[in-house]
Amino acid sequence: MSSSVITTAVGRTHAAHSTGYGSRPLAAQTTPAAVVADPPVDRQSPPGLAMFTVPSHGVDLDAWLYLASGAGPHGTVILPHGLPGYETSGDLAQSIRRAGWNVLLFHYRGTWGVGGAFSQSSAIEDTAEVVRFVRDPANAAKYRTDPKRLVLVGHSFGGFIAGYEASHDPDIKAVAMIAAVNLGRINADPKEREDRLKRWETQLHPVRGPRFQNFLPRPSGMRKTGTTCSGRRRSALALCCSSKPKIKTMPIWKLWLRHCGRRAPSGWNR
Amino acid sequence: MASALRQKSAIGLEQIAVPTDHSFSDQRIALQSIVIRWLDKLRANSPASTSPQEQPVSPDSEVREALAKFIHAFDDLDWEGFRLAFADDATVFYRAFPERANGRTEFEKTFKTVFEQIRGGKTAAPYMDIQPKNMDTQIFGDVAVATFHLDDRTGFLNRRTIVLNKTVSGWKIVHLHASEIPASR
Repeated sequence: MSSSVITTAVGRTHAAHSTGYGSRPLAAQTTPAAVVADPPVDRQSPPGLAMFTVPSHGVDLDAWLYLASGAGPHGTVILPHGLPGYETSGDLAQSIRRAGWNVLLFHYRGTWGVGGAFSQSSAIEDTAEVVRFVRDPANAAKYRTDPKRLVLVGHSFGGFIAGYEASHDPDIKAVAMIAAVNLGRINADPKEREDRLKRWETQLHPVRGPRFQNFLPRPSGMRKTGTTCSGRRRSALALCCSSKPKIKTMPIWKLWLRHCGRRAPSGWNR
Repeated sequence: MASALRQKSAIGLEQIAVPTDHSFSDQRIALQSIVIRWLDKLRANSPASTSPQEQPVSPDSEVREALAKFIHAFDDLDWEGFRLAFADDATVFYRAFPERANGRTEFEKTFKTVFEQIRGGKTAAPYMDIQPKNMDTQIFGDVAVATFHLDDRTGFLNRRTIVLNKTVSGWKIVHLHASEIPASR
């Protein structure tokens, strides 16, 4: 096992020097091209948008897939959104697509008009079904997807969901948890749980389901501890927490990234 | 939390702290940049797919993939990955060296010097973050010409031309030309 902690260069300045090839020093990284510029369009396999539903436990989840330019097959990034889902990280999705990945977004059961009732457990189940959908050979062929390169990038509640799914699915290549909510810790702290529920109850109009007093029961298989997930040892990172209850007074949010070990190079599909 | 996660055998765990609110309301570009760099690194370190559903890859994609590998190897100063990107008879005009390097012996000698300069006192990759701009590729059968800019030095425009030839072992660089001109020209 190896791990490292890195910090971005945001807000820091470094003396630039030329390296001979024409790169910047790493500490003064430039913005990746995919963030600010469109890649050349592959006329035979242009970028696109596919809209469909993913069946999950008797409900059709609304989902949409940003297709990357190029014949592929492309890796796929699934972006589980947070609650209530106003922030879907659409800008992040577009950048990831420009970087050569297919990007799939979806709404959980009981949210944004999708049928069924929302809960932690149903969201976990929904995400597993979305993963299954991406891996389906017919879908992989249809959407120029490499089913073996599957990454989860979740924000807030979606960060929790991403971590949980990755911890239970050893074939998920990597997971990023952006300002992930640590539901395990919230569950374990009565005061924080109460604070959260009060705040969420006024924000979650697009979410349909049980009363939010029931939103935080511990799903089976979860532990009460801060790290929450008890997946197999080889599985992906379980859960990361970045939050305290008072969002506006929290100066630092954390983005946790995890990826599996280094292997041979494979591609750059832009 | 990081400690707990590592104890749970998280591999390659990285943490980045960004000074913003829960929604990254004022750090969206930073957020995207972090994730894109991470994905680029991840992709570069993943094995190529051998899926039977794999569809034909266009020559343009192949060339860009070869260039991405080359740049990734250069970023990491991965000597084997770097040198194998070139054909044995490649020629190189490199800005720090006035003479043309002819063939593997000469261009490897040139780039070993460059590697030492870049490495400096650092001991771990990546050493650079090469960001090609305005990348264009022209495909002429088994020959491809890639051109792009680099903006690593204020006041100057760095230009790169890379000619590749498709061989049985993939696209190989047969010529690399690096030049720099004042940006105001």
